[in-house]
Amino acid sequence: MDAIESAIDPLRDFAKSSVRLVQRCHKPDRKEFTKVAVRTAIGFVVMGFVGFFVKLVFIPINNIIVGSA
Amino acid sequence: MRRGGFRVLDTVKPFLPYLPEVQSAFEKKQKVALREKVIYTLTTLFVFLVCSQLPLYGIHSTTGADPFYWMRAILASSRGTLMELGIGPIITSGLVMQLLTGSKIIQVTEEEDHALLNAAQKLLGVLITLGQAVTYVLSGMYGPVAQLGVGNALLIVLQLVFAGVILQCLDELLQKGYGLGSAISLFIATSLCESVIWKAFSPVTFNNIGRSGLEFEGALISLFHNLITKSSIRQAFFRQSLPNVTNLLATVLVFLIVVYFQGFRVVLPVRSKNSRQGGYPIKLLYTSNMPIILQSALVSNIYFISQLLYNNFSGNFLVNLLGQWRGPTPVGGLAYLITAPSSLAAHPSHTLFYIVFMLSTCAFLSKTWIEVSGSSARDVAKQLNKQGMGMAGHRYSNLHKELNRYIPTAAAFGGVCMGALTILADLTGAIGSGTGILLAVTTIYQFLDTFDKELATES
Repeated sequence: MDAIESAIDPLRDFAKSSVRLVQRCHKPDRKEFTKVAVRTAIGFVVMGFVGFFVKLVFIPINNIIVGSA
Repeated sequence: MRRGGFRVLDTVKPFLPYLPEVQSAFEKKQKVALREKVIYTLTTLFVFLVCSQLPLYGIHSTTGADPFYWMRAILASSRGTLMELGIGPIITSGLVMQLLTGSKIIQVTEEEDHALLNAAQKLLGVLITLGQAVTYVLSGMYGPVAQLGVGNALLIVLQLVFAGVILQCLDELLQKGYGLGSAISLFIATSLCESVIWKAFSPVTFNNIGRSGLEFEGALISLFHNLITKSSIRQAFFRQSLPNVTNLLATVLVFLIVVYFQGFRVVLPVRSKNSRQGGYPIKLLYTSNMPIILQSALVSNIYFISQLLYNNFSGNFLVNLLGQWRGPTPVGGLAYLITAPSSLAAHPSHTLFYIVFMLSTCAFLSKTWIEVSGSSARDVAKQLNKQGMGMAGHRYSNLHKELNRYIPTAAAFGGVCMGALTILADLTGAIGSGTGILLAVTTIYQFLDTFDKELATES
């Protein structure tokens, strides 16, 4: 029983300090969240499409290169 | 003791004139305009993307099992192209350098040491690229060496090394003031973003014999197609063989959750002697995506070793304990247990083990990372003191203690959160696995942050 207790204790402490940390945290409100989400989404889409078009353009080019080799 | 450290670094000196180096913008006292930085960053990205598509000249085949399948996401590498090794060599050399400096085998004391350190890292990077390239060719990944011939084999190695050097220069370019951030994270994030967009919009068609005939790979394209031709919408949402809309939705969900958690922070009332304002923020996701990267690397290494052993010694009891494989998928042993289970209900004990493994490794790695990367409570306290900042009404030792109340917990718990998010993403089938999305979001966030700061200082 003791062994299990001594194993669980550090976990319990960790859980307690984690909860304390989260409680003290400043949480993003709706406005901040939307702002960050939108900007990150735009970045995501931009990067994605750049890669997408590069890949798209290269499919036929690659076919030509590999086809002739 | 000091002489020992210097001697190791000194071995790099003779190579200095041969290593290509980007002149630091800081040194030249030139402030690079924000607009230019964006252009440089985008161009670097473009170069990387193009190189990822250019096939290696001289290879015979890229068929056969890809032993590095699991590492592709983290390393931003593409099989059979100039970017075969991706940024693997750069990351590995950076890691090795961190280990060496952390364990005091190398000591950085004087000004010129930093230049030497940099050069050492570059040299190491090139060596690793060379080593990996040679190993790849010799191991027959591009076809048996006898078939390739010595000339082609050498050519392949040369191409890979060349690509590796270019990557290092690009990374250095961005780091030394011409760009907005690290090239490494940029490449990884872009790979992921591109993969998501591709899975959504790919116009490539697959012939699905026995079902609906010609199908589009892109989930959204397929959805429209099905709507127009009035065939099964349900299929567009749930098909297994190709990306479906549920995958996309899950991706979006994970994305939003990550963005939300990114904003959690504790602001400690730290200010400099002069100003009244300011505060030191400690993010909940304190180590950001590092624990995930490290955990992925760990798992990939286990896979790699296990696969290697299994393919050669499948009869051995210990080898089987480590992992049993059927093709590219682990089906038994440790390797199986640390893989995401395909469904919760079917394998409850596997799922439990997986979750415990994920969360504990992420927490542990996160906690040790703060020591290695110099962001532990002690390091931060030292840095703040150097900058002349302190907590209102407290003294030095108290700053350290106060930081220690939050930083270790933030690191460990942040690691747990990342682990949990990854599990969620894996179980809901989000694209690119939880790891990838997290990496992409955190990277984009960092870039936007830097962009904002630059904008503020410019105007």
